[in-house]
Amino acid sequence: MKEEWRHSHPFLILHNLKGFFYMLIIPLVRGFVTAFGGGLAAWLNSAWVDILVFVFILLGSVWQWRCCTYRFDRRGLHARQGILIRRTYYIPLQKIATLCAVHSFYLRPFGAVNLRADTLAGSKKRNDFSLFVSKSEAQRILQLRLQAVSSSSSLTRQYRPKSLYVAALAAFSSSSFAGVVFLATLVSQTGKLLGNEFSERIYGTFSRVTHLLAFGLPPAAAALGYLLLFGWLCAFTVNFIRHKNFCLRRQGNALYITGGIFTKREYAVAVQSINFLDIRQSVLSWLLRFCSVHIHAVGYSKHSDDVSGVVPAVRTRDVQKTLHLFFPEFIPDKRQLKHNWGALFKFIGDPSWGCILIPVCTLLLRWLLPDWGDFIGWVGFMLCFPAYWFLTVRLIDYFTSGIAREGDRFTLRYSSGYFLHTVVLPRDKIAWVCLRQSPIQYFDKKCDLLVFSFSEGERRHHIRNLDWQAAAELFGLQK
Amino acid sequence: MEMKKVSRRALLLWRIRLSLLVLVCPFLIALFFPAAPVWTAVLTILWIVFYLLMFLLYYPVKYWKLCYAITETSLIIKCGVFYNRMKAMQLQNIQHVTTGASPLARALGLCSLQVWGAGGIVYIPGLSKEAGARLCGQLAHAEKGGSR
Repeated sequence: MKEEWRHSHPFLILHNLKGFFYMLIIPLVRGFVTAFGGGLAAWLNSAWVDILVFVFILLGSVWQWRCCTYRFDRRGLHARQGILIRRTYYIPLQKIATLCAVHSFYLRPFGAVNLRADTLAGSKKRNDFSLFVSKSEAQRILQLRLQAVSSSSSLTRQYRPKSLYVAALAAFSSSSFAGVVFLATLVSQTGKLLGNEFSERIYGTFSRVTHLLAFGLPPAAAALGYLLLFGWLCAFTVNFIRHKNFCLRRQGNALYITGGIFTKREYAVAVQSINFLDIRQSVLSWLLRFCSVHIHAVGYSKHSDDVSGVVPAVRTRDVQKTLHLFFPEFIPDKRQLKHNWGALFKFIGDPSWGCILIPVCTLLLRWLLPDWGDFIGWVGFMLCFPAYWFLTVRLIDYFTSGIAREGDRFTLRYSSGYFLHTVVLPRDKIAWVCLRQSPIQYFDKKCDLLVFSFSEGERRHHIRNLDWQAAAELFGLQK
Repeated sequence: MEMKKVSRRALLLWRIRLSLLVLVCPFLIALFFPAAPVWTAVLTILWIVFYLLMFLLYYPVKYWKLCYAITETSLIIKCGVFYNRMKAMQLQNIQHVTTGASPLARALGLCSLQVWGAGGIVYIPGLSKEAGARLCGQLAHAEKGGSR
């Protein structure tokens, strides 16, 4: 039986209001003009204009909601939108890579859920389709999606990590910088809403507390340190809240992932839509011998506030067991091809600049500006941390990087930024490969391997200093 | 695997394009440094050296190294001047293929080919019009065959 066309959740009316906000300029301008001209009496006399504008905004939003209808059945998602320009969408169910239901805290009082669909096509930053539906309707659609990719007879496996593991993922994926940006935005936006006095009071309190807790350090340096620490704590808290109550379920070829406290997120991902699986480690998690597992599928972890990862933290020795249970298609293989031992400088070349230049510049500046010596010394010391951290990552990468191939499955081990990656990707998810040889590498017949995997944007995996001939053969290319 | 070269006219196209671009340099120098003979001399020497390097070295090497081949499974492109690059895209992963040509390229009977994959794009410049059309058809056909 054919599904009936349904209306989106009435929350869409409120959501649509923001599209008409520009019209508020009319009552605003009128208010200014009458305030300088005729005063209150004149303003009241033509108050009907304001009422008309508000009614127009409200009616426009309601009409837009009336015109937005959809139908989600076993074949796919059909939708119609628009008042003047009518748009009709159709996304076949097989083409939907990820279907996501976001239960934001501000939607809960209305009983609404934001449903998002993503395909391999479309924008890298925005979802291909977004809709407000009721809670029960979201569940029905997610179930339809899960049934489409999994058979009822298949065994269901479920994984719910301990809070400690969720905290570990939050700790390793939090950066001070992101936290500081989050804090600065929060304070400035709240300042805009509550008046500048509020944000000035916050900054003033921070300054006083920093002076109190400087413990012999220059106040500016202490402020920088505390800002970074506080930023990291904020990022950690946000990440922890996002990943708390995390649950991964696999039934047949369907993955069902949920997580979050204030904003609960549900994802239905088809295993065939997974472009690659990424086992990620930071230096600390490498030393403590555990890692987190992430998947790359179109629409999953697309937004910065999305749930990332499918296994928040697992001991390195248990990772194969966990993957066998949930992702038997993505088991990493041992390195078959790796760089030569003389390639050390290729790995430590980039971080060495920072490791040498920062201490040299610090000493030079201390000599040139002796009055600022303490501050420069402290800042230089702080800046050395990321530089030597990066060097450590590259040193570990030197001992672990390489590639392997088992049938049509490739395993790539490399580092990117401050993380070590073990990426498992099927051959049919490789968009293209590039063997890049610098003039220095030309003489010892080595090259860097760049693998571009399927993605809405460009997703690059960079493995350093492999043998050209062997790499070409591994990918079925001949020199 | 037999590698095919791009059209020889590609080198001519790049050189004409370069010559047209550097023509702006003397005008800019005269405009911004009218009463600075030292700066004028230094900058003039710089752009002439740059022009000669590009004309006599960079573009010939680029032309010499640029070649492509279609195997049973992949489109392979070799290119690069300072770096040697070998790019390979599997035929079954090609999403679509487009050709384009600037007015100057059209006048010389040339076009460039863009091959779009789901996650990147590879580019072959300086193809003759016929080679471009042939390659476009070949890749489009392979793409349809791959997706069956």
